[in-house]
Amino acid sequence: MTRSRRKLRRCLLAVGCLFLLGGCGTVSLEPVLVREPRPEEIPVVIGVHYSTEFRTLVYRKTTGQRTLSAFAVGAASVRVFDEALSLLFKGAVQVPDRVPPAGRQSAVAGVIEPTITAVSYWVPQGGVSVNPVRARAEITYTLTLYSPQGLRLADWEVRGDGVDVADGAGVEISGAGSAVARSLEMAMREAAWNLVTHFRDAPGVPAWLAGQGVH
Amino acid sequence: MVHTDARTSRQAESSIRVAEGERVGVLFSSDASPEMPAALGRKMVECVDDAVRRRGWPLEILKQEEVYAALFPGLTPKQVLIRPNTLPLLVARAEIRERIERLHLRYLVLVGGYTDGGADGGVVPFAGWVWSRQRVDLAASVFELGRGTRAGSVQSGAAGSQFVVALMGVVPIGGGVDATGSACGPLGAEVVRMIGAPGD
Repeated sequence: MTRSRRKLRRCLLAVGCLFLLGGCGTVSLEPVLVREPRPEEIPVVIGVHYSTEFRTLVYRKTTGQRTLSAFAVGAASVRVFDEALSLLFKGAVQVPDRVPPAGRQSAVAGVIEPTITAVSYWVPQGGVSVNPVRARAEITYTLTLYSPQGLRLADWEVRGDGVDVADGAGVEISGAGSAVARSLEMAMREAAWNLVTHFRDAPGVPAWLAGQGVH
Repeated sequence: MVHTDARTSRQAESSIRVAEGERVGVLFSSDASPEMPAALGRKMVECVDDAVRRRGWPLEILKQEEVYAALFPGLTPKQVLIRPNTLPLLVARAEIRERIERLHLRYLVLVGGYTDGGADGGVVPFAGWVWSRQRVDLAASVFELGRGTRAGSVQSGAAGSQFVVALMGVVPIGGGVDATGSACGPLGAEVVRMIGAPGD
């Protein structure tokens, strides 16, 4: 076998592997946090608890036995929530449980636990070639605020919508860096922005803030 | 067969006047206009810049990357949320206000809009046909950067369609639908008319 043929075979194998990974692998998401306009800092340290279900949530679309797409929504949500809460509060620390250990309860003013209530996406379908292609996604989180002793103080929903507009010619729909991935990232970014912007107005939060001496 | 239809309108909410030495920023923000492809947004920025150059006015335009770099150093565009309702918050921040004043940046023009289109086609023995259409509704809003409020807006829209039939072995003749081109140039011209010459 000549050198160029071996090279071609290696290339074809590599392309085949990439194709398989693109079709079956779980896609990582990298939502970006909005840093301007910057929220007014809340001068307390907050604890944040992510359940294992939250951290590991993968959103899959399937048809029969076949997975069409799989997005690591939980892992990306942990990153964006960590950044958002660090921007909003004087400090944000992850805690292993809703109720921090007895000796460490005074280190945080409360504990926030997010859950993912809904996630979905849409891409245009049909026989007509559409241009541009708009992929739309939405994500809804429910946040619960607990006192350091584990008393439920507030819960509310935070939602985000995302749309990615791509040129219709040969647009990648559901792999890494695809239109759907970008729309999910935009939805998470929007949800994080809504969390940071409307936190002080969430039901139950103003009373908690007043109890912390924050006005 | 190609058909396009274009229209333009503008609305001033307060007087717009640029003094000599003042600058105007032109920006496409996908947050303000999420339905618009970024490439078309950047083209709209160029249409406004081209319209200023054609007038030959000594008006300095800061474009996309220059606006972000000058006002939000160290941040990527995705880390900044620019929408009509966030502009007052942004310009109220002391550091950003200082940068705006240092740059003599008087107005920010936010461009955006909506576009839609598609193509359909078919083949019968010895012939094929394609019908394509495009509609664009472009808009530009001029924001005064003292308070971040809207001072005026301009709209420009166009729609076009094309129907091509080709017989087997015969190359079809005709170009694509360019509704974008029909709307973008007039939009730039209207924005420039609204801003006026420096010192007027």
